[in-house]
Amino acid sequence: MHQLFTPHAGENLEFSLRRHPIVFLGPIFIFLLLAAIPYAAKAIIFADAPLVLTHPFLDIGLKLFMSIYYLAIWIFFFSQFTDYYLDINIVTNDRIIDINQKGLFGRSVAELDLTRVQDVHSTIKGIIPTLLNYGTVEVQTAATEENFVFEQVHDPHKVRQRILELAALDRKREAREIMENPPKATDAAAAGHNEMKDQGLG
Amino acid sequence: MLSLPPIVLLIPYALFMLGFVFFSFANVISLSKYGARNAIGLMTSFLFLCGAAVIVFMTWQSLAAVDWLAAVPLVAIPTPSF
Repeated sequence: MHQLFTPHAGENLEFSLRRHPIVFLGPIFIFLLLAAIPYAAKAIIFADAPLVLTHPFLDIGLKLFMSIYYLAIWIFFFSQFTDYYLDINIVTNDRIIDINQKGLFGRSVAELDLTRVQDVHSTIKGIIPTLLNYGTVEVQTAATEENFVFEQVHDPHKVRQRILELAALDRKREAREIMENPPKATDAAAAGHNEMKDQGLG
Repeated sequence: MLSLPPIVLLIPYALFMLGFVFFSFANVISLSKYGARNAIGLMTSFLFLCGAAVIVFMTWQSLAAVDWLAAVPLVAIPTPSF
């Protein structure tokens, strides 16, 4: 997991989230359907027309075409797996990292400090998601920033609860650090004085 | 009558294979580079390569008897087989 992010000092991985495995049944179904099409087509179209394949070019061409077809759907299926597997959300005790694989050659990584979490929503919608307990978690931040959305993750209510707990703990930790090492008043005053001087006010 | 050797059919096939090899490498490298250097990532890559090898082997086996350099007339009159 540490290949995906470099932890800061004192930062621990709490959990990581991927889309629910049931979501991958869609690409599996499409793959099986596409793999079955040539057999169905052969049974339907060529059953009554065996003469079509007597020409050597057609026979060889069809075999090469079938090879291309199966290799193409095979790589399509593998690409779908790569896309599914490389989409990951990582939650540590300090931040949330959202990694999105966009096709084969696109990848976006976004980070959010837990102290900036304002609200967290979790939604389970539909029969299958309710039965299998997966749904969406939306982490709301300051109004100007884009929200973090974890789609089709397992047990979204528990994830929401855990993120809120971690955010509260992170705020407490940060407040304690500020209390223990407060910024020096003289330094702040000097900085303010210099700023006023720069603006021609001092 | 115009005739061609069947080897000309291998040209589009070879072009497709170039693309296939490129995308296969891109997939496997993406998986290993971005954090799937684990049992699942390795097993999936291995299964993918095995599947591709099986498809290529079956193609080769089904076309093993073809004389790729023999000139074949492009238009042939089909003969009914009873």
